[in-house]
Amino acid sequence: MDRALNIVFRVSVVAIFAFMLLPMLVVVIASLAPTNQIELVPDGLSLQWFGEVFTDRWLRPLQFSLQLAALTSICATILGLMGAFAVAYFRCPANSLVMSFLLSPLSAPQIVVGIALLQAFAMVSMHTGLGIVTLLMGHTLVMVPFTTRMITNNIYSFDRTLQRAASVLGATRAQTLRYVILPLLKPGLFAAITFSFILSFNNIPISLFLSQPGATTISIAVINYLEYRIDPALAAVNVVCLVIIIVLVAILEKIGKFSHTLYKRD
Amino acid sequence: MQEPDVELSDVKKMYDDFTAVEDCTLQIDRGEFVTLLGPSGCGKTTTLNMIAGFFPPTRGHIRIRGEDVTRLPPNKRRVGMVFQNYALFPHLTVEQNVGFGLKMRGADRAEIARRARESLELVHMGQFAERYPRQLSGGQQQRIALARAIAPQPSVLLLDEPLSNLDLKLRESMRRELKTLQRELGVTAVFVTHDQDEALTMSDRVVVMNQGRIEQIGSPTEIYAQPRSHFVAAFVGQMNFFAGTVTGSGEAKAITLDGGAGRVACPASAAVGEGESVEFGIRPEVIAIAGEGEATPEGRTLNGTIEDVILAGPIIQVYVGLAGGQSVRVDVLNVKGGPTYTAGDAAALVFATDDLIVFGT
Repeated sequence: MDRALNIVFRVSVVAIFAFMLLPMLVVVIASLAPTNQIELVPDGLSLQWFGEVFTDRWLRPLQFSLQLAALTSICATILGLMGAFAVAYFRCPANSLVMSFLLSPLSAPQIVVGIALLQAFAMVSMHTGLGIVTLLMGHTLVMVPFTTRMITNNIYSFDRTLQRAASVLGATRAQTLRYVILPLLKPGLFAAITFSFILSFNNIPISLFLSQPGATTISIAVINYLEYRIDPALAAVNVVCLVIIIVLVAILEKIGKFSHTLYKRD
Repeated sequence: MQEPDVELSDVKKMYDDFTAVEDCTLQIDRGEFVTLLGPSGCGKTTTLNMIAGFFPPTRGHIRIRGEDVTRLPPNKRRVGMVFQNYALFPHLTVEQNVGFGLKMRGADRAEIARRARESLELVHMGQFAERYPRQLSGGQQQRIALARAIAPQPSVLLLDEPLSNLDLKLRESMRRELKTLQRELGVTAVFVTHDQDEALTMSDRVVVMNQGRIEQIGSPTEIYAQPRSHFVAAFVGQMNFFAGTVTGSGEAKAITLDGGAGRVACPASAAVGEGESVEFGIRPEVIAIAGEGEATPEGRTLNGTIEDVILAGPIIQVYVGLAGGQSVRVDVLNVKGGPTYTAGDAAALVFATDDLIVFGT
């Protein structure tokens, strides 16, 4: 019985990974096509489409997206940290209200938020010429709910007595923050940075409305390209993005160790 | 007279409408080990937290070494504290934990290392300096927490049920160790517990608290032998309670038990007068069950029937039913060749008049 269960378990694990990873594999295969057709079984391998990626057409939006995602993740994490502190540390009957408010951008479809933002920016004549600023504002707005929630959960996960312990030991509020709270929040902060970076980098609904010529994200560049043709260049762009994200997550995980518990065990 | 190390004057703490602590006045001398004892919700932890400075009292003053610290934050009070759940910093090594207080006070690196090592040696944890708290057992973590609290050489050591998360055997050995360490360091200690054994075995003085008020302050001996209220008598140790009415006066003063179980002589020292309804108590271990042919003096004897006999290791608990239905517990030493007790047998309970503890009602 145990054996049968074990087999079922292993098969399920493999199936789940296949479900998640096979589409990526398909993209990788497609990017290696020697022809201008996207095919599952290409007749040969070629890196020619990657040459296409390293041209201004793609490098510019790629660079722009990376900048935007980096700025968004920093802004959203800082705001999320502040929001989380407010919710977790100030005893206030309105706390749950504040939390609901902070999470409210989650409840509207992002595409609606995107349209609303475009209209709002247009009303105050901010819809043109500001480039990255409006996109940053839009992206930050929709990322803050995620970062706030992640950091709040982190704060709730550690023992509040630790702060008392620190203060009895002579730590001022600033010292408690620096030597106790922030180190303990490291996993939450890194998780928030990582996820808001990825979500911003891949975002379409907000970017669709706030991108402009000269301020176009990679996702929007792909969509624009798709209007005219479909060829393995898109797959190659996708693979490059994938690699960027994987490398970035690996680096952040190495520094922040957010996917494990904070504690060393051996 | 020497100035008290910790002084609480008329301290009161309210949470909205709820009074957590009231009329709390207490002086603790330097080097003294004082225990705040009481059931949960009696205000003992609230009192300790106010000494630590986690929140100010609603009214009253707290002084440490003569300085009024009532409005000072915890980091300015130079107290050490051991928490029930240890509250070690999980991201720091044992040595960093112990050195934390010194680091916050700006000691230099060599000094921090030296004093941290010293404190760790005091609690016999020197070899664990590089470990993380998670790698240690509960007892070891407790020692680290203690080392961390004493490393900055606090004026007062506050202990919030530090032993209650340990298993029984460890708890008993830690009691002695903690007490020995406190005496060696000569540090004033305020210990909070709901465990009367801990309070009696460790303290120089015990403060029994109930519903936010101090019921009695005294040495463990006084608290045990002369409890001043029903609550203290019931909370500390075991006690058989009786209700009755005072008859006669002077030498002939006696108490007639309600329910017709008999009449006992009243200790001359009891401040009760004829006709008064009183309550009195007798501890199970001071009652003897008279054997065959032994004296059963009038006024010091109650007759009944054995209801139940329970072997509890070193003692045998004999429950004796009196006329009127009251059950009295008698603790008899479990010695080899001692008398045997059987349910249903008649038993005469004999005690000394001085062992009666009389409470007014």
